[in-house]
Amino acid sequence: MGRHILIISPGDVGRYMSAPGIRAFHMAQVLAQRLPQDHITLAAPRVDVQVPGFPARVSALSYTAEPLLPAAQEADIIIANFLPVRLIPLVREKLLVVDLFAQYFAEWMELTLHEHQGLGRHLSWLERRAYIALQLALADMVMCSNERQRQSYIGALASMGLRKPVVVALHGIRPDPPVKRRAVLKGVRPGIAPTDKVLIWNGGTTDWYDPDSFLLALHTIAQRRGDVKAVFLGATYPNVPRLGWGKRFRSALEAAHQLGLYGATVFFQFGWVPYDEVPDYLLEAEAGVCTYMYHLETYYSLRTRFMDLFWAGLPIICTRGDFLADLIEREGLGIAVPPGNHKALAEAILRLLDDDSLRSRMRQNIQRVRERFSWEKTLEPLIQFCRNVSLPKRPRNRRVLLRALPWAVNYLATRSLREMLRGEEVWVLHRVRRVATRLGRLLEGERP
Amino acid sequence: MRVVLFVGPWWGLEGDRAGWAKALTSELMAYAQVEIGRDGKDVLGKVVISPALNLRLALGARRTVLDTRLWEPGWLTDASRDRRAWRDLQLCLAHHVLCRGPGERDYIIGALFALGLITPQLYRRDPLLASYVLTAEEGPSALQGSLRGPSPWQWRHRLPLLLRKGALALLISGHQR
Repeated sequence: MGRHILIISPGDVGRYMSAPGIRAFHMAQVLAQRLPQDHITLAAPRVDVQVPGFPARVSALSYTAEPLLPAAQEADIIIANFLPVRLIPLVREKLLVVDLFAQYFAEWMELTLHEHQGLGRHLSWLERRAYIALQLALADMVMCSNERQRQSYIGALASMGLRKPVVVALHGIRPDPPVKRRAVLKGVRPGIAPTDKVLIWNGGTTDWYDPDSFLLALHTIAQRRGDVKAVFLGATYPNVPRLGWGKRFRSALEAAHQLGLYGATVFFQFGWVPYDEVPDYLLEAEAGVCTYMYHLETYYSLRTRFMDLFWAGLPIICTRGDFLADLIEREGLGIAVPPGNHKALAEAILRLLDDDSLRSRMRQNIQRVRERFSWEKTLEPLIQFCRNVSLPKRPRNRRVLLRALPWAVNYLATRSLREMLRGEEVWVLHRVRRVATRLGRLLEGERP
Repeated sequence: MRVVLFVGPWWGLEGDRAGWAKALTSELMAYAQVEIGRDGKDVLGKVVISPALNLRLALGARRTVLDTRLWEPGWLTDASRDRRAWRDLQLCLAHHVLCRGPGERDYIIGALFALGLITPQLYRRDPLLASYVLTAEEGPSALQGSLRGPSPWQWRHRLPLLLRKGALALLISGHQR
């Protein structure tokens, strides 16, 4: 008899997907293909089964419309980017794989610094740290996306007195070859001529990105020639509207206006480009560009947007410091420049655009390297885990929950304090009230 | 420049570990007065310096550099409760941590995050933690630069954790006795 595997994504799965949704979508595809005996359910805030490539064998659950609990109760293995707190009691009977594909301590520290001030900042950090630690404490296996992240999660687990398998499951590339269905930029978009050279910034602009260096480089180039254009694809992340339309993105917009680039050299695609339309843009571009600040978030990151660029065979110009930038330099897949150096960036852009043979060499190198990044290969540790692991025959020892208890208390306390401080409704009290209301109805003989 | 103390019982060490300690100490001697814990009994033959001495030195406004290369192999990753308690305490008391290479640095940064030793204040000042967690590959010159700069952390941020970890370490040690 097949086992039930539940994949929980915090991001939508459908035409509009960002990294968490894309990862969950391909995970469902690969698991459905490689584990034909098992029942796979993909749960996300919204799931659109009409999205091309959605596997027929996978059941979809939109948890903004339907309850998640029954599906979680039925599951034998739960794979979640973050397990919702209300499902924690279930881990005594289930196996949990936590898919931490970023170094969330560093990433959320960056978010905390940008989003909060004073005491709120401190509380927000304590809450986020406890939440990540809670996930680590609950997991039976932790997935991450590069060796740097793996070492840091092993260190975090060791300091919590835990030893658990931590495996690297890189973000993969799409299985089908990229196909251009229609012209979207060159000769179509006002301001971009068919002979122009287009640079793509594919993905949002969160606080740790550095679009200003890119804009300054474009300004330098625009003074010499007018055929280099840049397109920012995507602003607001699907179902996380506050992410993307932040300080950094607004300052980029402002800088583009101030430098006189807006609408002439630099173009912004507001909103989010549908997943199946992304190739139309990528295949019209000469190169992909992404610049970011150099800090711990960058050092540990895996820029998932680069995977689409590899898939489309586009050379990449990026900032040095992260795992993929090292790979890009080492394997000749593009050019990595020092952080915050717009002059070096401008030179790199011109070098790449003017040297056709260099671009063609890079494309060949990408062709060679991208073989390693198929989802089937990158998710092999997960497939092996799901295939070989023995399921708990009866509810596991209470110790599973006890080791997570301090972190759960820590998380709920700091969250409640933060909510009170901001004058928001306290989530814990809301849940308690809800349970009490249901109990009251039950006692009165009504159906819940 | 205040006195720098290297935490580590290197006079009880042999081979590579003793070599590292001596080389680093002599390099640092060139620019700062290096003082070795006077209470030799507290450190001789132990993997870590006694917390009491460590605390006394740290409270005395001295910077402590924890050189994890001096630890026995496997000590860093040992998940047993007593080892972990002492290790956490050592990490809590260190102003700077010096480790073997990038892999070990990643490991230590993960541990520091989980322990709560990396605060928004600390991260804001040093977003790469370049002056807090250093690798031996960067050499003593990197450490010298870090020691000249402001201390990576302040007591008020670390005191609650230190009290908790200190009490835990003492309890475990008392229980074992």
